[in-house]
Amino acid sequence: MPAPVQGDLRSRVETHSSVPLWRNIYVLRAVTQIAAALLIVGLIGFLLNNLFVNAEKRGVDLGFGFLSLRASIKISNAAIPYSPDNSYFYAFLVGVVHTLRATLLGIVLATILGVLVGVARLSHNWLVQKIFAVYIGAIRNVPLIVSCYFFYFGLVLRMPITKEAVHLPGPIFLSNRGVYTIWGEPTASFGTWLLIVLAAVIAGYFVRRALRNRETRTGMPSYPNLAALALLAVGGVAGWLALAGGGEPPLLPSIPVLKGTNFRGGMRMTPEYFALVACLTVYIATYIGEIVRGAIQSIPRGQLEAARAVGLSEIHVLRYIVIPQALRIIVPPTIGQYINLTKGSSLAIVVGYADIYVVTRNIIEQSGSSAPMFLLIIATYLLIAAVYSLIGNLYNRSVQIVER
Amino acid sequence: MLNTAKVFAVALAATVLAAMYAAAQEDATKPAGYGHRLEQVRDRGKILCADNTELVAWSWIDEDGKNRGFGPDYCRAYAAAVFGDATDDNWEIVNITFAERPTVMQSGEIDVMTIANTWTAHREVHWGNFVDIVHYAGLGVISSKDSGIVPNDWQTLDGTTGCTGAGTNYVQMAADMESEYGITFELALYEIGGVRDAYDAGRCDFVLTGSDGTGSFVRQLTRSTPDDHNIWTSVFGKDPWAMLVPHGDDQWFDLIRMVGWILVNAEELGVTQDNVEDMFANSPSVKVQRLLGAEGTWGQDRLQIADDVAVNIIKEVGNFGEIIHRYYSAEAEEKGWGFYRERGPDNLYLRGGLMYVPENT
Repeated sequence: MPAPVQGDLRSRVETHSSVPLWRNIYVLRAVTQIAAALLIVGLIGFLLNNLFVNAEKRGVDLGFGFLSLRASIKISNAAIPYSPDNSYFYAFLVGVVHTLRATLLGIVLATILGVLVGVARLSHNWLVQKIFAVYIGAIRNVPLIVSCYFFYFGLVLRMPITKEAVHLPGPIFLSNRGVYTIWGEPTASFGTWLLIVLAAVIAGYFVRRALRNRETRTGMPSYPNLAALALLAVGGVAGWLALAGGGEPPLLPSIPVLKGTNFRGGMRMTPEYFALVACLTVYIATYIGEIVRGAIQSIPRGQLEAARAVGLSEIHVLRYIVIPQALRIIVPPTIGQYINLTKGSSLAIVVGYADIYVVTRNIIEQSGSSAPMFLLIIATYLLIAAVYSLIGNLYNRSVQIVER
Repeated sequence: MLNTAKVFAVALAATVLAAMYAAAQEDATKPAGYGHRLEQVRDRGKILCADNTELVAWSWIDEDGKNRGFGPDYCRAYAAAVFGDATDDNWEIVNITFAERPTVMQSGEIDVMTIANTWTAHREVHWGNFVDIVHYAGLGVISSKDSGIVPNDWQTLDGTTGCTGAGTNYVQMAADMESEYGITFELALYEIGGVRDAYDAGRCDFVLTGSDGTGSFVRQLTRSTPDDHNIWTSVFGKDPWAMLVPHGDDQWFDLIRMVGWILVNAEELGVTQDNVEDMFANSPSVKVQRLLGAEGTWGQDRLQIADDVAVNIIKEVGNFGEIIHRYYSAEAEEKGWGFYRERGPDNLYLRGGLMYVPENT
């Protein structure tokens, strides 16, 4: 019978609407949300207004037009070609590239070291376990700026001067002006050689796939990875020899030679870059290590025992049981650590590395535009962090359990 | 028929008009911002001077934890001008890094900047008003004797490594130097203490710094003696140092500038820390009497400072020559308060220098 139900409903609605406005939960919710939004917008508006009014009062120019002017500042060891004739904006980009170069390498190394530390902390070997426990305790409880200062002034700059550089086979020279190694100088045939290598990579991919299929189908070990690598090596070496026979090899060795107080030629890692990457890596690896340890420990014991009971080796237990499950727990907080590392890279000024912040300070000194430059820095760090998070989140999605 | 409401309205309108007229009158003679800074300083009971405390002779912190040096002496002189004397409480050195200067100036939180500050057109326009030059320097070079760099030969810097302060104008001057002499060198940038440590460790072959700071720089090195280094007598470019106030308050600018004139004129007239009281009471010279405020004023009332402001200042810090002697002399070097250098362009014009200020008259 529909009629009485409708009547019931209407009376219920009427009761509902008879609640006074100030006690109506929907109204209250809407009002508090609007009030909170207004408060935030008002606060931002107040701060911006404060900035504009004060800038006006002191005759400070808030525009970004100066970015196209000649930078006229010196940036040594720029990762991309730079001269003082370039614009302020280009100088800023050099700083961005330097920050990216340090953070990306730092992220890769911190991840590797962090996983090692996390696994080592669970080792049954008493000594290994304790050594890493002490490492984490010591590094994690010291501010990053102190670590960086110590790495740079206490370790890297205490290396011998260039005249007395440590000479390792290679040659590799270790000195307080950086690490110098032999390096290949690309010649005209370098491009051709790269194409040959690329072809070998593509061929290797297909060979690997075919061999894997065969392995799955027949159960016979077919060594797909080994075969692909062998193909790549053969392609690379054969291409090199062919090109060298036809004229010049794709790469000519460039050997660092001491001239005056500096080495010329070869490849160089500056002490500043080294110290910054080292202190960030060592610091962030302690956090990643603890995340990894926690994640591994969260996997139920029964699963490990079951895996061993069916005869999996310890490596296989890690590879097929532990890591796939632990990754789900590891990835989200680790992304947070990557962002921490990125922000920490602004301590570059302590070790004399020309990152975004150092370059910006010089731009501000020269142009007088501090507010626009700080806005630019904030936007750039936000963008870098957002990109790292995005990549991390995409990866995270791929390792999550697909639930139905 | 007049009622009280109308009378009241008319009276109110008249008052407002009178107030507006008065305000307009004041505006005509006193531009916006005039006098705000002095009012702020008086309300605060303290004058804030921005300086970096890592440069012995110019500005550093002594064993007793007190700010000392050329810059702090000027800060004390300003305090004496505003408050009658300088006590521990009415002046303060706010320690900043060289890279922070533009931001500090543009925020307007600081009353006067006494840091070793190179005056350039760009900074005059963007940072604030510079008062008169107190020191004539250039971009100085210190090179280590091991490096093979020949002192005063710019070409020998080619292919070497230098260190200098991040966020200083030396970063630009280094680029200019390279293009002028057709050389290239590596340049590592640090905060000021970092430059010292890095050079000390042999990270760089030479240091670029204000030519005035080179003497104290080599004395602060811990792993070598001053004899291991060459201080160049050639300098690059002009590096005039001057105190600086925020834009927008002419009264404050005048006040700070007058303190500088008083110090130099006092030296010219032979008024010293020891004889100032006596000169005030007994000097027959009209010039001395005017300077010390015993006869006539040159505008102390408009600057809202005491007529005998010069007496207060000289009693506190001595004259310009005495301040220089305190930090740049053999005695200073012995005492660890500075180092010896010839008094060159910062000598009085009477003795062949460039210090030439208008009369306090």
